[in-house]
Amino acid sequence: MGEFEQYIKVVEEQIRCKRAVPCIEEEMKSHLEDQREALMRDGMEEKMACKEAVRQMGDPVEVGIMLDRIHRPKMEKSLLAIVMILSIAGVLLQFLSKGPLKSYILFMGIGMMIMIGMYFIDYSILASHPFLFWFGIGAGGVLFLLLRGGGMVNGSFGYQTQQILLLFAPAYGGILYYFRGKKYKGLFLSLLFLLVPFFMAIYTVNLSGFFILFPVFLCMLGVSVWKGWFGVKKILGMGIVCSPLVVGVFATVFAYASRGANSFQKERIEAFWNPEKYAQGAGYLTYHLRNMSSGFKWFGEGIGYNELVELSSMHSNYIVFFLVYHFGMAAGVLLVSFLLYLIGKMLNLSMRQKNRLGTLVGLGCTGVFFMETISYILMNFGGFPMSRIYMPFLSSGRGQVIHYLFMGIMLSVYGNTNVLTEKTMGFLHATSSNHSGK
Amino acid sequence: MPVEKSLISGSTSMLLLKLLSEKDMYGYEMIETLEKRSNQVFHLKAGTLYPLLHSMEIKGLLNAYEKEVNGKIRKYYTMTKEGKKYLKGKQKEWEEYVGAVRKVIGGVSIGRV
Repeated sequence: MGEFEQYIKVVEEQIRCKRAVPCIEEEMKSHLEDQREALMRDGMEEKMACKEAVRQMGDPVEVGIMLDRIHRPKMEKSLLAIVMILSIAGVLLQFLSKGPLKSYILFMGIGMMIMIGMYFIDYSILASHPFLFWFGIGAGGVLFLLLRGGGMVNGSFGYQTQQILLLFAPAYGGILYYFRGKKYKGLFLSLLFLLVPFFMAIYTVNLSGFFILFPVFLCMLGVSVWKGWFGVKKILGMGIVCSPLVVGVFATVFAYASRGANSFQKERIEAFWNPEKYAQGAGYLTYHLRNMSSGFKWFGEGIGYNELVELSSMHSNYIVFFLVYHFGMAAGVLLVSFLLYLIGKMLNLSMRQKNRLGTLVGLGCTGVFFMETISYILMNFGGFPMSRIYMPFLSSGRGQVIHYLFMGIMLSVYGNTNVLTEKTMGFLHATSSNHSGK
Repeated sequence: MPVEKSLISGSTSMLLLKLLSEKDMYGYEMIETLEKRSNQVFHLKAGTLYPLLHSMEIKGLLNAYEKEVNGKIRKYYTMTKEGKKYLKGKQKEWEEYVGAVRKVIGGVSIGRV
């Protein structure tokens, strides 16, 4: 027996990525045992059979080197390149729109460090401690509010808590992964867990955060049901996934009709539907944005300049509008399609993961990027009420950091494609203490 | 009868895919079957087999799953759609090659070049 372990040990020593080891170990051991049994059936004595089985395997160092070449963390350079290009475009846009260049670069730098850090963190910790992360994010949000101590700004706490709220998206991957195969009970519990971000969004009156997050959650849930990961009937399961949508619409209408939304938001939303009426007040931006949009050109600066629009934080809330107005629609289309290309790439990468946790976590990050981008663009041209949404990598503010963090998670998911299988994850978490002793 | 190594290496993936096109198998089973079918000509070392299987899995030609048989958990490999396509292409290539060799040296069977 010792001979087998000796052999496997030499093979494993060649493999630098230790996370990949458990899976290989089991397969090799099982092979050696089969071989020994076959030899013994042919009349060989046990000790000889062991030796022969090992001999037939081939040189362990050579085998190990070959396996090392295969099971190696990968760096998705094209994702990284796109992020770099977008960041540079961001700096340029901040410079042109007279944004806070210094702080923009500072947060960008912090973000990039976090991104690289996340790449080196094995994202499977989301599967081993799903609840810790879930409630940790919730507690973090509450703590943040308490420490800040202040009241509402423009009828919402959302300015600061939105970024914390968005962290729930990748963390939900861990929750769904935990409840996989647990049938209807798992599905209902997965839905129930959404109450945490739901109440946080309600409590902090963060409507845009809610708008961005919940489609992402439901999409992740829908993919899990559709792929049969819960083990429930597809049609019925999808019905259950959609049920919060119906409830949500009713609740929104009800809340809006009663005193759910505070007067500031109510006015802003009404102004959105009817900007002419509120053109001097809450609706002035929507009104002017829509008016100015008609003066856009494909190339070069548009007509119908209005300083009212120029005054209102172009660099953070209206960077796409700024770009299109000053440099033409072609520039806007180019930039936006570049960002959508990134999102498409992220989606493809997530869906191609064999590890379901990887798919879910990746979907969470991708979904947030998508929802943010779409709502930001709509907001910029008066198609979405004004709110504090970020354009990934392009608009300024502390929340820039979160996009680099999400990208770091994506890089970790991709990097572990050939390393971290679901089986390996099971091994790592069940016997982490045993393996560390090696 | 051992055959020169270089002759096998390129087409080993084709042979494995051919085996898997008939049924799902685990590593040891593949080596055994290959040996039997080729009248002991192809003796694939496990040390070559597993890295090859793993890389084919990464390329998306194969999928792996686990199944318990007689109290032993085994890692079975199954061919994907892409694997099927790949096999078809490789088979065609191989037949062309063999045909060409035959034309040149006339009526010699495979494996005795």
